[in-house]
Parts: sequence; C-alpha cells; structure tokens
Amino acid sequence: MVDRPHRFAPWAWALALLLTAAGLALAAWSGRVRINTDVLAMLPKDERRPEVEQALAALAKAGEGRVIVLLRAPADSEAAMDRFVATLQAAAPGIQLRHQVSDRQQADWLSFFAPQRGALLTDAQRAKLQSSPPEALAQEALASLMQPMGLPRVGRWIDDPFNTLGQWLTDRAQVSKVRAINGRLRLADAQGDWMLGLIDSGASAFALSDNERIAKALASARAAVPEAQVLAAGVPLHAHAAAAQAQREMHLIGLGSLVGVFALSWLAFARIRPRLLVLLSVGSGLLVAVAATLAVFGELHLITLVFGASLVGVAENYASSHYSSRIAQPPSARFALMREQLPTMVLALSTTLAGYALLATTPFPGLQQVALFSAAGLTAAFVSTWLWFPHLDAGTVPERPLTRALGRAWLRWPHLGRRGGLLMGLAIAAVLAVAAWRGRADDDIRLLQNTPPALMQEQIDIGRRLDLPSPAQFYLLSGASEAELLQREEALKAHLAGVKGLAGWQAVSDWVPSPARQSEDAALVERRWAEVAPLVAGQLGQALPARDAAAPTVLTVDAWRAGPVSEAARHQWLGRGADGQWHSVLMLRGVSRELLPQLAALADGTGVRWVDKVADVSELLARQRVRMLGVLAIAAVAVAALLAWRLGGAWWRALVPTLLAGALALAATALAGQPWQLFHVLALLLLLGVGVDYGIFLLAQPSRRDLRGFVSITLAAASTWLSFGLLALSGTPALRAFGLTLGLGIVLAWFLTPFFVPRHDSPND
Amino acid sequence: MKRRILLLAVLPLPALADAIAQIQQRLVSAPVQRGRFEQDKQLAGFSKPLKSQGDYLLVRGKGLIWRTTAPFASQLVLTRDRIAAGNGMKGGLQLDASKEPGIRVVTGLMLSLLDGDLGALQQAFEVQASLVGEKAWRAALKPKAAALAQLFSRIELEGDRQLRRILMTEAQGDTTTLRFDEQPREPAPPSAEEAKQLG
Repeated sequence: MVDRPHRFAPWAWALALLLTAAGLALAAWSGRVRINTDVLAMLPKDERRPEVEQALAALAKAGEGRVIVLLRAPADSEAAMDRFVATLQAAAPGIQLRHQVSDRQQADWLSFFAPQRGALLTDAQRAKLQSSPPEALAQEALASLMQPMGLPRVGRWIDDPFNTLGQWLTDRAQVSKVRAINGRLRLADAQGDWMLGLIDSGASAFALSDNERIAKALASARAAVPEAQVLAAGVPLHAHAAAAQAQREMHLIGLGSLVGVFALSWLAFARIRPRLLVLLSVGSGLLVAVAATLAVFGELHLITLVFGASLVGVAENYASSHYSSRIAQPPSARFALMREQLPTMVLALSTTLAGYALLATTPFPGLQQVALFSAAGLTAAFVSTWLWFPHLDAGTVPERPLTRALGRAWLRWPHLGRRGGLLMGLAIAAVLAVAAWRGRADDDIRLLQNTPPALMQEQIDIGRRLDLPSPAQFYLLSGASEAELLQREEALKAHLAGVKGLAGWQAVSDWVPSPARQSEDAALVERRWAEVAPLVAGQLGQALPARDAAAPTVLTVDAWRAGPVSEAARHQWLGRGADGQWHSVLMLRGVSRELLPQLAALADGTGVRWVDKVADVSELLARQRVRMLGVLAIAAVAVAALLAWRLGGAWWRALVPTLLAGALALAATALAGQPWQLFHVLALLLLLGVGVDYGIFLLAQPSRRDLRGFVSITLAAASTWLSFGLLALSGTPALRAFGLTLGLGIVLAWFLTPFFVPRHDSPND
Repeated sequence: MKRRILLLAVLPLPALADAIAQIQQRLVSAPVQRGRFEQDKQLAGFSKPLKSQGDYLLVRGKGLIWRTTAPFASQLVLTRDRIAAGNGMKGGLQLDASKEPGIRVVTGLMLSLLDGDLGALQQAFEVQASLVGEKAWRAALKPKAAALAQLFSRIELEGDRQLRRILMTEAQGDTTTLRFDEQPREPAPPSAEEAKQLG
C-alpha cells in the first residue's frame, strides 16, 4: 500500500534529523550555543536612532560582569569585610574584587591633573575670579599660604596661588560618596560607615556559568559574616536570577506537558507504542526548533526556551490526531487513513503556522524567535507523524473508556439552532459589554521584568546610597568634533543647573572641559594673578618666588580616558560614530517622574537628544498592542478566506467559535481586574491559528456517530491547554498573561466549536 | 618601614605609654582654651620667613576658631565635621564632612594637635615622647600613613602645663612654627557669636 516516494521519504527524514542532531551536538560541544537572559533583548532595536542603541549598548556593557557590594558590621566592619573577601575569593578564585586602594593609586589620581593646574576651574571659582576685587583675591591667596590648614593642594603654592586645582579636585571628589580611608573603599551615610567592594568577573553578563559562580560565592561570603548587613547588586545577579527562574519554569512546563501528554495518550490509546511515538514526534520537533533558531538567530533567548517548552503540547496534536483516526479501524487501513487525513492536517497546520507567522511580523526579536522556534518545531513534528507513524506502528487502536465517553459527549452535544444561537449571542454580548466598560490597557515595562523583590530592593538601596546616576534616562549628545561635543555638554549643564530638584549629573566634560573653556579659564587665572601678585608681594614685604614656567597643557579626552581617573565615567564617551559625528552620554542623578517633561524639553533633537528608556519601552508596547490588534483583524479575514476556499459555505462554523473564545478570554482578563497589554493580543493571534483547527477537524468528520474527530480535537485541546496553562505559572508577567489568555481561549474554542457543527445524522439515531 | 621597626625596638612600649600618660598629667587640659599665637613659615623660594599672629579659641568637643590678625585679618573655623575659612562667614571656603568625609581626618588631626592629645594622635602617628625637667615635655610625631606623610614628614610638640610650640615640617622641607603665649587661667567662655560659629 506504500506509494513509491514514501518508501524513501521516511529514511530521508530520519537522515536529515540525524544530521541536524549531529550539527547541534557539535555546536554545543564547541560552545557556540549562546543563551541570552536579557529581557530587554526581546525588544526591538531602535532602527531610527542607531546612536541611541549604541549608547544603550555602551552603558549596558559598562555594567556587565560587575557587582557592587556594601557591607556594614555592628562592631568591626573592616574585619568583617576581610572575612567576606577571603571567603568570596576562596569560593571563586578567578573573581577580581577591589575593596582597597593603595597610597600609590591615590597619589596617581591626584598627580594626573597636576599639569592642568590653573586651567581647571569650578563654576563657583570662575564666578569668583571674574567678579571679585583684586584685594579680596589677594587676601584669599595669602590666607591659603598662611593658614595652617585648608583645602588639599597639589604642588607649590606659587604655582597655583588661588589653589584652583585643590578646589576643582574637591569639587570632583564630591560627585562620589565613596572615599579611600586608611587604604579602604568606604561609604559614609546616615546609617553609618559602609565598606565597599567591586566585583569584576570580566565576563559577559550572558556567561551563565560565571554568573552562577558569582552568585554562589556571594552567598557563601554572606554566610561567613552573619553579623553584618550586606547589600549586593549588579547585572550578573539579575541575569543569574532570571536564568535560574527560566530553568525552573522550563523544567516545570516541559515536564508537566510531557507527563500530561503521556497520561492523555495512555487514557486514550492504552498501548505503550503510541506514547513512545508521540515522544518521538515531539522530540523531533524540539530538535528542529532549537537547530533552526540557532541557525537563524545565533542564540537562544531564555523566553524562547520557556515558551518553547509549551511546544510539547502543540506538537503532540498531529500524533494524537493520527491515532484518533485509527480508533476501531483495521491496522491495514493505516496508510489510507493517513492519506485521507492529510489535507485536513495540512490545513490545520497552515492555520497554526499562519498564527506564528503573524507573531513573526512583530518587530520584537524575542517573538520572532518564538515564532520561528514554534513553527519549525511544529512542522517537524507533523512530518515525523506523517512519514513515520504508519510504518512504526502496525497495531490496532481499540476504543477505551475515555474515548467512548468522549464519543457519547459528542453524540449528545447540542447544535445551536436559531433560538439557542440568539440567546447565546445575547449572553456573550452582555459579558463583552461589561468587560469593555471595565477593561483598561497598561503598557508598563515592568510587565517584561520579573526581578526577585529582595534583589530589586538591594539594587535600589545601593543606587540610593551611592547616588548612582539613572540608567534609564539620559541625554545623548552629538557634535562634529570633540571640542564641539564638549561645548554642547557644557551648554546643557548650564541649563540643567537651573532645574530645581535635580540632584546632579555626570558627564565627560565634568572631567575634561572643552578646549575653549580650558584656555579661557587659564587666561582668566593668569590675568587675575597678574593683578593680584603685586598686592600679595606688598603684604608679605618681599618678592614672590619664581613660578613654574610651563603653562598648563590642554587636557584631552583621550589622555583622560587612558588614565585611571576616568574609570567611573569612561563609558559615557562613545567616540566617533558611523555617521562621522562624535557622541557622548550625559547621565543624571536624582531624576524624579515630575522632572521628566522639563528634562525632555531641554533636548533639541539633533545635538542634544533625550532618551527615556522606560517611556520608550512603554510607548513601544502600546504602539505594538494597537498595531497587533490591526494585524489580528487582517489575520481573521485571511483565515476566513482560507477556510472559505477549503470548506465553502461552512467556513464561518470553524471561525466564529474561535473569535468568540478570544473575545471572552479578553473579557475574562478585564473582569479579573487585569489590564490589557500587548501579550494578550499576541495570545489571540496564536489562538486564531490553533482554535480554528478544531472546527476544521470536526467539519471534516461531522458525523456524531464517528467519535474520532472529536477525540482528536479534545486530546489536542487538552494537551495544548496543559502546556499554556502551565505557562500561566511563569513568574514573568508577560508570559503569564500569554498563557492565561491562550489557555482560556483554547478551552472556550474547544467548548464552543461543537455547537456550531450541524447534525448530519437524522435526529432519531 | 625599617626605621619604624627600629624605633619600636629601641623604645620599649610600656615606657612610651608611661611618658604619654605623664605628659597628659602635666598638661592642665581645660575644656575651653584661649590664647595668642605667633606663626613663622619658612617656605622654599621666599627669602624671609612669613610671619603672622592672632588668637584662637579651642572648645573641646566643639571646635577651633583660628583668627589671624596680622599682617591681615582672616579666620578659620574648624569643627569635627566642617571647615569654614574667609572673613566671617560670607563667600569663603566651606567644606562639610557630609559631602567630603575625608575632612574628618584633617579636622581631627588639627583639633588633637592643639589640644595636645597625644593619645588620639597615636592612631595616625608614631609618637616619641619624653619628659623634660620637672614640668616640661616634648613629643615627636611621624605619620604612619603614606597619605599623611605626603603632607608632613615630622611634627614636634613642646609644652609644660600648656602647649607652647608646634613645629611642622612638610614633606618638601617647608616648616611652620607656631608659638603660643601664656593662656589665661580662666578664659572667657565662648561669646554668642563664637558659639554660633562653632555650632
């Protein structure tokens, strides 16, 4: 009974899968399988503003692999810190931890700016030098010469009589609250004296094993200082938490789905072989899914894996459909049954694939990955079922209690007449009206994130104590040259100084003033000193010593970046972009929500751009939510056309139950008090593809006496529901929303579809 | 480092502790001290020493007001958490420990020096102390930390019932000598204005 091409096709498919498996094993062995844990990597890149993307990447890179630790003990913080560090380094030998600063490093820090003395002025000093009478300046210079104590001074008095550099360095130092005291990094705040440590793994944040090592070493180091309060925050800890959570969920969903699928096929088909074959089909699907995703994207996103675990429940559909068709049929008919079923299966597959294709039209790389992963996996599972199952299992499929019960339910399931339809329609319309009135949309970025609250709290705590600049809002500046860029920064800072409530900012020009400003300031100092020097000499009654003949050199960004002093702000200088422009980032401290409009208004859109990542993401999610609703409408029309072409006048019977199920699932979200968001809409896209399958299968076998179609869709719906229902347990709000909506939608689509299938048999049967 | 070990070896610790304790006994350490000072600075490049004079008020637990009266008037107010310089309070230099915790090292050092508090100074300096005659004493301080050694190479104190002389030798060789006149036995308590400045 086997067609000629079919004789080779199963072998060819097996060979293809083996080669894929070998390729994948090779890639995994050579370490080329990258797993991405960054939730924001799921979001589309801003194609219109490549410099913004570059700036975000640079800021992200500066934080990669770095953890900040604050420690405070009631009695002896220094001893506790030493114990903490020793335990940490014993637990993870490769990790670099800095908590001490040598005198040498401190001296280097000060002497770096020594050649610039007289050319670096604080705003207050500049104002004073511009407006003060020479007598006042003379007295101040004398005081700083005579007084036993004052500001730190670099070099001789005569080379910097106004002590401009001492004041400038003091001003710079006040940017950070961290101090090196007795050779240790410390932070003093209202609560007391904290010891500070910086862990630098030197690795990418996506090197999962490194993150795990850091997290574990930190945990044992914390345990070594039970008396101390320890705060730790950093990208590796977030990445580790995300990876651990995803792994848990993957196991839960994958294992749960597998157990469910096994249990269902046992109840429906009893024998061991169908279960093994279902496993084979699902396994081949997962193999091809992973391989295809890696081939196209070069990496797997964690969300893809979690989402992909739910594929188990969908890929199983074709296998259970095949077995359902064989219930109570002679084994010899299996090839004929497969051929007979093929058009229905292909139609069902194509509507599901259409759903995934729609997901792929979103600009979200994460969703594109999910779509490719699922589409490839489903197709492979289908091909395995089609080519292998009739060959591999020649047994009979008897009726079982479960299938008989389903058959009875199917037999009695009412078909909605005109009156019933009207009543049901009215009831559904009422529910939808209430939901429409109560529902609201929310596109907050937090839907994507799911950081453990304790970790988040420590992050906020450390950010507040160290007064770290906000990573989410900043200015991106551009200029035709380094000098112009620095001048733009200076102009912007002059505006920012007038913004009430802003705590401060952090910019490269804080450290390296524009060349124009440096030479202006140097000239100002020289001019004023020429006036003041005779007064000072007169007061002292003697000639002043000779000054250092060397004029201050111009400090360049390159020199600053090469020195150790630039560590905290180096990454804000982005350098020259592909557009030939120079770019830098100006970061802000103490940004509050109320200030955002005022801050945004300071941008001019070209030289100074305002970037608000939080608002951008929310706006993007909102825009995509609206856009995807449009896509959903188009998709419904396209599916209607496809159904009309294949099913003729009965097309609406397959489509309407799914549309109603989707609307009710959305309504349920609103009635439960949850806001609507993009991921609900995306779930509906997929529901459209999966839900109409039920109509397609039932309409292909509409006889109420033939239980096979109904058994097939019930098993499919149950396993799909199981997978996505488990997704609803995910800690990521977006996945949870997706799972809940799809799970509910599938149950409703399965429940509603039989009402729309007309009774072909005479009522007396 | 070698010299430090040598110093410790030559000078038995109990004897040192003993000397410091006896100096503290000789010092009549009043909670409020007023006095006049004369300062001589010998700086490289200047042919003549730079002379200045003025008066000071030290309130233990509060701080120091250091008023230079000649050759020009200026004032330095120093508490543990703040340094304020200039004429009175307007427009001068202000440093606050809440912004610049590092100044506590400096203010603490200065307050301990003027109070002759050798016990506190021992934390930052190697102290070599000896008694002179029946009433007098002297001490030599060498900074322990390299950061401090960049400022001072050596500080010498001399006194009897009060501190009489401080000689600070800076790392580059410049020296500052402070001489203190006889303190009144019963100094006037801080005026309202002074109390406010030290507040």
